[in-house]
Amino acid sequence: MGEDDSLNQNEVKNEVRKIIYQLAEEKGGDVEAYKQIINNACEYLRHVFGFMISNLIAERIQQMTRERFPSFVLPLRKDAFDLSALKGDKNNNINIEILKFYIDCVIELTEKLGGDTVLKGLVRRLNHIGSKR
Amino acid sequence: MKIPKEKLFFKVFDAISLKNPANFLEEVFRILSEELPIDLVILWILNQRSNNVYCLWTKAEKRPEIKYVDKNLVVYKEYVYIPDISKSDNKAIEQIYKHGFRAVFLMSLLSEKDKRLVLGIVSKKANAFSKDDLSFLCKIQKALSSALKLWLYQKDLKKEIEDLKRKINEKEYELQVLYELSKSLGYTLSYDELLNLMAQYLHRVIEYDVVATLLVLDDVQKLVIYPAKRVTKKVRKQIKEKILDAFFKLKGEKPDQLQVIQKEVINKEETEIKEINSVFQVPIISPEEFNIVGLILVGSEKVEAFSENQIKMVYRVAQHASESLQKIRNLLNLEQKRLETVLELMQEGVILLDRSKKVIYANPVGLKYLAQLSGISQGERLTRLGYVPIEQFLTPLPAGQWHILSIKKPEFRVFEVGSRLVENGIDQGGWIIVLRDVTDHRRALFKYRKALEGAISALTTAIEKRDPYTAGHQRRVAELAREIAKEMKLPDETVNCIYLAGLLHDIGKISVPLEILTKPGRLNEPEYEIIKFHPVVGYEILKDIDFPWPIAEAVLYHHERMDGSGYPKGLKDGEIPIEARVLAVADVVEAISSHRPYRPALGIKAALEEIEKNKGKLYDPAVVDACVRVIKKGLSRNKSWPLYISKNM
Repeated sequence: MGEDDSLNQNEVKNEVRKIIYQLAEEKGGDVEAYKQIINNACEYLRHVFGFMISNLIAERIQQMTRERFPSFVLPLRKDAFDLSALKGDKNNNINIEILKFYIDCVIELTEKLGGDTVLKGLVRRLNHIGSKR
Repeated sequence: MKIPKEKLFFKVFDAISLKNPANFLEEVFRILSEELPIDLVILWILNQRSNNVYCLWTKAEKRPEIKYVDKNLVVYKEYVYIPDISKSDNKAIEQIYKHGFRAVFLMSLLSEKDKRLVLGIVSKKANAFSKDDLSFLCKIQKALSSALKLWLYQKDLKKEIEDLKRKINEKEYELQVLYELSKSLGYTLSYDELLNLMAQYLHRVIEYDVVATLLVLDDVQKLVIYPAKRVTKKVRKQIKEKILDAFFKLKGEKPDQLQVIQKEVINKEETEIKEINSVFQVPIISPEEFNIVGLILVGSEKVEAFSENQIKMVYRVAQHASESLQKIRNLLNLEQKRLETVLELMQEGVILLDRSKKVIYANPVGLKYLAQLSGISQGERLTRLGYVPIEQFLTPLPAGQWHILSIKKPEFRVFEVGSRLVENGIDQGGWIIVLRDVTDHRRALFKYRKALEGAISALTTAIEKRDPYTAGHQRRVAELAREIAKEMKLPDETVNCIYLAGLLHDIGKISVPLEILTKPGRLNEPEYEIIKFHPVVGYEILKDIDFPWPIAEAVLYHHERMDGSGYPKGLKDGEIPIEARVLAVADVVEAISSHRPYRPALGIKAALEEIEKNKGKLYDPAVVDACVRVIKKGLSRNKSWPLYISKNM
């Protein structure tokens, strides 16, 4: 891919990140708000990639997050994209930083697997969620 | 207004009842324009996604170009009358004014949350519409609005039905492809076939420029590129990087011994792809172990080439392929276990080499031979067997033939070595080498043959005792025939057969009375007939002995001639076995050059003249040539035949 295209792709990735942050902030900007938006995004990926593959992706993301933040507990669940069971550290603390890293992983893998099409689809889906508020 | 309003209303109502609204609006305004000062009718369609403006009707021949749309036209009211638009600051109205119009009556025909329709009835005259006119237009507004709504709903419904039909067709096609793929995958027993099928089926549902499949299993690590169009080196590199990057991101590791294979281009005529601008990748996962074992990359030179639906479709295809892949893996594992068991039980050594001749597998016997013959083990490069370079054993031989390897130390052993080049079309393949120790078998065979030759020799001696004139004839014929066969470079087994058949070729003369055999003068007809019967008798004597060579047949046909003039069957050319053709020449040469009861020896010169004269007629030319060479070789060493041959006994 040429420089211009990769720039476009980066722009789309930034757009997804920006929308997720914006939506989460609008919802209160707390951990629960971020978790909810990530779940919404992942729901769309499940719709495109199918349950099996999206779960596998989610497991890989959890693995990457564990490598980056070893003190946090990310339980592997049957539906790995479901972050409702996400635990914090020993004191049950969880910060936005870990969730932002999680978001980066989701975006990166979505781009690797679905390319521009799925990233743009994700932007549309998130915009739609935003417009329904 | 020239006609009563009621009449005009009915005329308008009749026009509205026309089915096609494009026509009815035109018709309505044509009728109205006859009674009202209408010059132009404009329709604004305002909705969330897009806003459009159309000139529905005009008195003039050419429709004015009106493009500007104002979303706020007649938002809160049902009608707005602007008798003189020259003072209006609304851009949409201003645009109409610029085209020479002066009065506008705006009526809202539809006002819904996401869609609005506004009709503009325009006149070139300022203050064109009277109170009566306006009152009439207001009255027909409801009728127009209802008709238009109905038309729009019908149009939307039609569009939705069309969309649904298209979606159903697409889904039906996708299902059909999935069904066919799933059926084909059910019969697939190899990874290569699986990957080929995937690329073929994807080609049916997606217009791609290139598909690449990465497979990373315990025993297979390969990237196969299926280009629909020709690809540049840069594109190949791009594909490899993308697929390996995604694999690393998903799996956290990279394949270490990847083989890259490019398949034939589907559309060779198409222009070369210089860059991949749209790409998506689908993981192939092992359903049992739930981990990623590969990826399918689909790429196109076009920007935004793939739709979300197409991507979803490929993801479904990949799931089918994953299941099939698992089935193949299970099957291959089972086959491998079976094969390993068989190989472990085999008495032959089996060695697998890759293209660099590195030993990638050897069964237990194979490992023993590798240590014994080459001093190496599995994983090392095989350069020789004994002192012989391995390349000599890798040359192909006809079916049933083996290379022979003899070693003297630490003890004398003989091995038969077979090899086969295996090319699997995906990776580079290699060789399978089979080694079998035939020392004991060869020894036993050697003893058996020696015993057989001893028995034959004893039989020859017995015949010679009875007929002193032919004493030594069979031995000399046998030796000359053997030399001819060697000169002709016939296989060792044939040479041996010819020699033994030579020793016995006149065994049938045992049935000929001695007085005929030793008769000094010419034989009469009945006597000659008795003599002619000796090959058949010889055959009868020998046919039930289970020789490992066709000796009985060689004896039976040794008096046959190439032109069919021989006996007992009058065979011709190729019908006569090669063993008999060689014997025939050796027999004639020996007979002419030796003493006979009825004449003295005519000498070797006469014998050579006879066979040269009848070369091709009575005798096989190749055999004659070989015989002449053999005898000349003997003469050049000052050794006249049969002395030369006798010396070599």
